[in-house]
Amino acid sequence: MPKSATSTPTSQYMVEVHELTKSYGSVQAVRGISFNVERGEIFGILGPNGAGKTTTLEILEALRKSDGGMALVAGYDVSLNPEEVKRSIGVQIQSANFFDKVRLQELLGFALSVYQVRGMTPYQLLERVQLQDKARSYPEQLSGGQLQRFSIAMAIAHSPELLFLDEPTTGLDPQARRNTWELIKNLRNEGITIVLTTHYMDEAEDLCDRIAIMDQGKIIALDTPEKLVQGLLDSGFTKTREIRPATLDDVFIQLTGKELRD
Amino acid sequence: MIKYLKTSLHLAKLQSIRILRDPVGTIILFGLPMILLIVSGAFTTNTDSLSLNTALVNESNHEISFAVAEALESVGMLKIIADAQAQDEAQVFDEAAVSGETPAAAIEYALDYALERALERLRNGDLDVVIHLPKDFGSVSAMNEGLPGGNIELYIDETRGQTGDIARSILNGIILELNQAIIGVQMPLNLVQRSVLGDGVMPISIVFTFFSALGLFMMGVFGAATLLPMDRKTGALRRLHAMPLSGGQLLIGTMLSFGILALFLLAVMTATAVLAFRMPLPENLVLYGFFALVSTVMLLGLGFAISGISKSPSQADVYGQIVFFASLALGGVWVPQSFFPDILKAISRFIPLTPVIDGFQNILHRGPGFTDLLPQFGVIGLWILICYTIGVKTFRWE
Repeated sequence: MPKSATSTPTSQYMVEVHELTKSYGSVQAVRGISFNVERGEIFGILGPNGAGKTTTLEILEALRKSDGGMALVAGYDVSLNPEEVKRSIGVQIQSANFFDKVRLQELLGFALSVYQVRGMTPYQLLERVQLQDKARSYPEQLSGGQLQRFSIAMAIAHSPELLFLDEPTTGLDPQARRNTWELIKNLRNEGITIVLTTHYMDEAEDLCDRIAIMDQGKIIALDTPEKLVQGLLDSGFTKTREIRPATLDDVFIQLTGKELRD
Repeated sequence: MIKYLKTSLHLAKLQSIRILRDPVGTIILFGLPMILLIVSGAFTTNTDSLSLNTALVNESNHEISFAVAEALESVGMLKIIADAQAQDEAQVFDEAAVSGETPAAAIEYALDYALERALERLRNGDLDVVIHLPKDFGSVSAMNEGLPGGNIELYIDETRGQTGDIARSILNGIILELNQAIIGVQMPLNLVQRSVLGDGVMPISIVFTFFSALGLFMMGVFGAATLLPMDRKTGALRRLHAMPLSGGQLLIGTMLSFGILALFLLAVMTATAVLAFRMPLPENLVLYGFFALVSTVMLLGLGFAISGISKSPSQADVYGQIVFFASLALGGVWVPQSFFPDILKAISRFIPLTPVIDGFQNILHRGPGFTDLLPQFGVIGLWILICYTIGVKTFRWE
């Protein structure tokens, strides 16, 4: 399948979005957004509920068709080559179940079969997300943190160039959150480009190299976390409360330890 | 293409594992048809053990009434239940009558009381039938040209299925023999029953064809119909959609899993009917297998269509039940198709279950060739086209 002429696998950008639009009836969910995601970076999309984050992500994941504009993912036009896009990316979907009554090793075996991966075993994938002792468990027996890690294992079964994570730490306890952050950073260090959405600002600040803030279907800011904060400060913004060098989250982790409890 | 099918096969394996690990689903899809076959098979092949609890109330003192009583007692299928109370009372009255102490009216009262008691036991379910020989039964009258005559009264409970028919058939046989003995000549007109399926047809074959078709039908309308809506609801399909897996692969994988399980069920049911109930194996096993395969594809397609038009698993379940019970009703399970108005008779010939049952019956009883089954293949083919068109048009991942 030929790739689009406007991008190549060696292109600087893993994702190129230009004037993307999507409407549901009279509601404009995405209003002509444009941005690029560089290879090897962690790119965060932030925004309140209904801002258009998930719709944007679903268009990039080739799960939904856009109404207008263009999106290139891993060098493929998502509207022209959705199958190639899906082969190049890994997707972790929030709040979607796996097949019930199927063991983790069986599900991973199926994922390896779909992506036609050779030389990798379900056990090796489970080891990467520290779930090797759960190989014979069912998804419905896992805790929230374990389920997110397993979801990431499914998404990286075929060693994708690009990984989409939709609110990867929502509903997790502090230990599980930090553990997931470590896992995401390790994946980035392996060369995987990551696009994630989150509601947690500390998560975005800790993980993301660059952040796009969306509201009402538009990108209203896009830069590194440091530059976004600096820009706010330069505009004259001051906080009434003094920023403490540690947070309650740090206290909790200090007292209860970083080890996973699940 | 090989890789495409390989993924479908892997999905079929995964879906089969899920179905077999679900105890409730396994009981409904596998246990129920098997239980129905075994219970009905045991009933149809073991008619020696069939017995109707019968009360014989004989008020007649005429000789012919004793001949009837004797004939009834010799029929193994009728278990004549003695009425202990009536017997005791009869003995007391008999003794009293001999000694001349009891008036005849009192004896009559006692016998009537025995009939009422028998009817009460029939209503309560303790008895299956009551046979009453009235006092004048067997009396000689001028109307009968000097021959003994009268009516045997058969009391039945219509809610008790075919027990009344069986008792009536037995009594008709006895009456025919007695009439011939009284007249002294062979009756000029007689009824001989013949089956279009052949004289050698065993009841188990008829039961088997119905329940095996029912098993395949349930696999479609209760299995395939609800699985996809359930996976849509939980988001499991959404996860699959994020992978390079096509709708065709999902359909093939899911239908293949149910298809393999359906044919396995049919094989087990066939083996059970043959080994346990001595049902003869179909002469043309290749045609039997091919017809079963085509029928399974159609019935699973029906489930696929239901899954597409349903917005939720519970809605799919409701649609499945409507189709299931409507098919049984139109198939003549509760009311024989002969009683249907013409329009319903015509409709019943084209519902999905009818050609499957007809085809299986033809294969088992008549040993036809492929061309003999063309009408059934035609209706099934039409349903395959309709169901899969609806299923594909209405399929969605979310």
